[in-house]
Amino acid sequence: MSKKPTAGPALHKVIMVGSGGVGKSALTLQFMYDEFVEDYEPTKADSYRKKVVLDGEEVQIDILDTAGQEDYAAIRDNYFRSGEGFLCVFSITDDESFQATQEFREQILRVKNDESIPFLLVGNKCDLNDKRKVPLNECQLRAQQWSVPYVETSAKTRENVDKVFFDLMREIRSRKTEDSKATSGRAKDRCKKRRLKCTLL
Amino acid sequence: MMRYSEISRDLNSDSLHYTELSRKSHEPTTHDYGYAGQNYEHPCYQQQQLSSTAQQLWRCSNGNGNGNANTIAYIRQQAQQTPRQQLAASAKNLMKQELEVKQHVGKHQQQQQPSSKSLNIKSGRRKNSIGCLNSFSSSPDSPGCYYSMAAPVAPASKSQSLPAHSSIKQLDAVIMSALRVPADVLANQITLLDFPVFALIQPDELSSCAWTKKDKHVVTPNIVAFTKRFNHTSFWTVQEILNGEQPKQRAEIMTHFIKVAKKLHELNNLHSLFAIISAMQSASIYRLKKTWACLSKKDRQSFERLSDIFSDQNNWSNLRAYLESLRLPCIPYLGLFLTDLIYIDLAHPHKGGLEPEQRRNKMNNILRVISNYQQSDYKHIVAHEITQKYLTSIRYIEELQNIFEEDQYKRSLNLEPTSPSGPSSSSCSSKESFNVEMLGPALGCLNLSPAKTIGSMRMASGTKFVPGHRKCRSLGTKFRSSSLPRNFAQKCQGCIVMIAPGIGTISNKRCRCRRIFGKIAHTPTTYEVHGHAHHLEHDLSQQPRHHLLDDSVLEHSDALSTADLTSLESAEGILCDFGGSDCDLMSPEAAAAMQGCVRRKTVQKEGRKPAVASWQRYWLQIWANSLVYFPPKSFKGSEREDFKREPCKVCSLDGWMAHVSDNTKHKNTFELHHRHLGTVYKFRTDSPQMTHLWTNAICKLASMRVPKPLPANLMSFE
Repeated sequence: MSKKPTAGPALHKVIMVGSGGVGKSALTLQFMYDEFVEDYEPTKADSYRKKVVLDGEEVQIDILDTAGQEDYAAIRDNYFRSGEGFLCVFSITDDESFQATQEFREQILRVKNDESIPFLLVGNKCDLNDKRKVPLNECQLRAQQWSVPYVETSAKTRENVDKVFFDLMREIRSRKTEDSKATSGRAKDRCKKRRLKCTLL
Repeated sequence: MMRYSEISRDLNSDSLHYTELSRKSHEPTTHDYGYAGQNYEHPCYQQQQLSSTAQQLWRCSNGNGNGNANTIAYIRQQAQQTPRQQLAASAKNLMKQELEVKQHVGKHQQQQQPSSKSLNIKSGRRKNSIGCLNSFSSSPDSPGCYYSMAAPVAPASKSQSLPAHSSIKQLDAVIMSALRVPADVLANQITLLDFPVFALIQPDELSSCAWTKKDKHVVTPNIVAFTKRFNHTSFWTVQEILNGEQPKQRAEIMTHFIKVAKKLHELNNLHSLFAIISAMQSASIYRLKKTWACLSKKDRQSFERLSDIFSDQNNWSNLRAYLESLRLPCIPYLGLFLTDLIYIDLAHPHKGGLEPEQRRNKMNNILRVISNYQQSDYKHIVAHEITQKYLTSIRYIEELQNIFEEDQYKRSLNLEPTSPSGPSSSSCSSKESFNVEMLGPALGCLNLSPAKTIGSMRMASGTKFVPGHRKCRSLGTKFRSSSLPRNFAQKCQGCIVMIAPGIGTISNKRCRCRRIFGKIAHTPTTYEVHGHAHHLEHDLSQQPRHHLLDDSVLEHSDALSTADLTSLESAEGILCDFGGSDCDLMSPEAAAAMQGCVRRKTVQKEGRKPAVASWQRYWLQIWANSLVYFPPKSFKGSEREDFKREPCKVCSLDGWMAHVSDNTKHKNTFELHHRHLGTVYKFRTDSPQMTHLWTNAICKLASMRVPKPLPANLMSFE
């Protein structure tokens, strides 16, 4: 979007979405810092940006997580707008957080106006399976309805943490190549149209 | 559970709670109707109101007051016929509006009428007051007047069958609009409301990281309250902007909020600044392309600059840097710190026992910064109770935030629908003749465009919009007129299509609305006329001296005598309404549906002559009581398909007068001038007939603003 392809590796902007306390920030921290969480410095500009190798290609991921600001409802629309892909997180031990994903999804679609925006439904805290409140088939059903992948993660055990971020980045990447094809095609169309118009006039 | 900001004001109710805002001296006048004006005690309001009222009075006394005089006549007649208590609701509306104006006028003229017998006041006063009401919209520099532009003022443009509350609603909006409070006052008072809530936040609340948890109301009540202030301000901003019916009005409100934002920026109140910026970036507002297009470049740049501060790029680096650079007093955007605290809590968890040093240091850094901001001093701002009352009275319930947001989004979609194009537009632009089946979509198409807001305004004021006439739908059949001369279309020089949309507001059963869907083109192939013209049995060629629309004998033949005969005949070919005999010139339904190709030139705009004025080609259409302009697609062509589907301007006809100008240089011109704005446009059409029709149609609509009194033998449905 705002990134020039010439300036370094491609940058994929991922937005963490979900109710408070579902472990969005835990997933982010796990992915960003792994065991080196001591290095985390909240105010640094690149605290949420990381270079990773995605299928042999070096890319940058930029994660926007507004954990703690969930109740600032009014700011959501704008940061959704800047996102290229979304991880919609809920806790499998908290049904309310699962219900909330519906609203988040609607809000995102409203802002992005795109049904096929890269999007993953993530059930976090799968290490607490004994306290599960949201049945697995319900989660899968919802994901199916939205035609998005469903993944269960545990920030604690690090299960599937990398997977959700990488899967999402792959989707964003393929989406971007599609888009660039489409826009270049459209640009050609536009040229054609313009030329046609000129001859008319 | 009631919270501090949930008192009184119900955005959706018709009741007016703000009696306490009124001046005590007006109470006798206003109590009858449970309504009171909004005169603020603040000196600056008074000054503005005084100056604007003076301006308006001046304009009134200089302008010609035909429409007003009619209104007055109407009121007077009503008053004579009926006891005051039994006045029809519409008359009541008129009075209410008048009363409000009277407050302005009465106040500033120092000749207040303490009694409620406003019907008996001298007509001169009445003329002034109503004229004043009408001209509210004409002084853009007085903030007190902005809103009357949004609410179509003219009491007279409403039919008698309107429910009484519709106008109260409008007045409610007039009274409580944010536009009526100067931007700096708003910013100051918002800051005064914000700061005490912010100052109450305790370090314990912050270090608990519990503000997103279930027990947040108990553990972190002040953080919750402060967050609510943010959402409240944001909600209010969106709501206010969406109150504007038309893009221009919304843009004006937006401009006002940008001013508030700038002032908040000066006050270092980043909390509410971000709330307003977020509101304008919310889905409901961000998508209003037409509204954004109406903003001035300067304002858009200011907005961009302010929103840059809150960019989430690089971990909010702009905001962090900006906060560093600020000096007290300052109310920061707390959310940033809340996220940092959450992350610190997570990165350095407190697992019982001694608190890890890193955690303590990092947390304390943030707590120290926040407590420093809490030392801010905004005591230099004087509290303004009425504005604060207004600000806190906006009903906002945090728990219903989602529903509110949904409502706002729906409203936004209504105001500016997403896809104005669609199947309807293609049928509308069809080159073939109009027929009844096509009328529906054609109207639908118009309905989706900005012109739609006129329709919705009418709907809002209680008129039900029915596309097409009832009869037209039940009986509507296609037929080719056998009585029309086969080649009449060829004769016609002006390309005109007449559609009577049947939205006339006067429930007059004798209304002889013979809709004629004539499509006249220069090409001989498209002369078909479809329509529901029952009364085409008249032999048109036999009626040369009767009026084109209603069979009234032409008395103004001097205007037509110069017309060339060909075009006269052809025009008669199109217009075939012969049902009635008592109608002057043109039925309102027919007038409400004029359209055709015109050229327009600005002669004078708001009292000033434009530096450059040229003839611009438009497809002009009368829709409801507004003129809708469609821009041309290419350099030539005078048919509908040579113009764009999307209108570029929509102007209400309120206050406009038209007359044929006897300009020797350009033939077929008529002038449109606004009584108070001092704006004059010149229009050129293709034929004298067209000129005449346009003039009549516009005059008709302008005078329609005064509802005709019902004949005594007809029952009113109220």
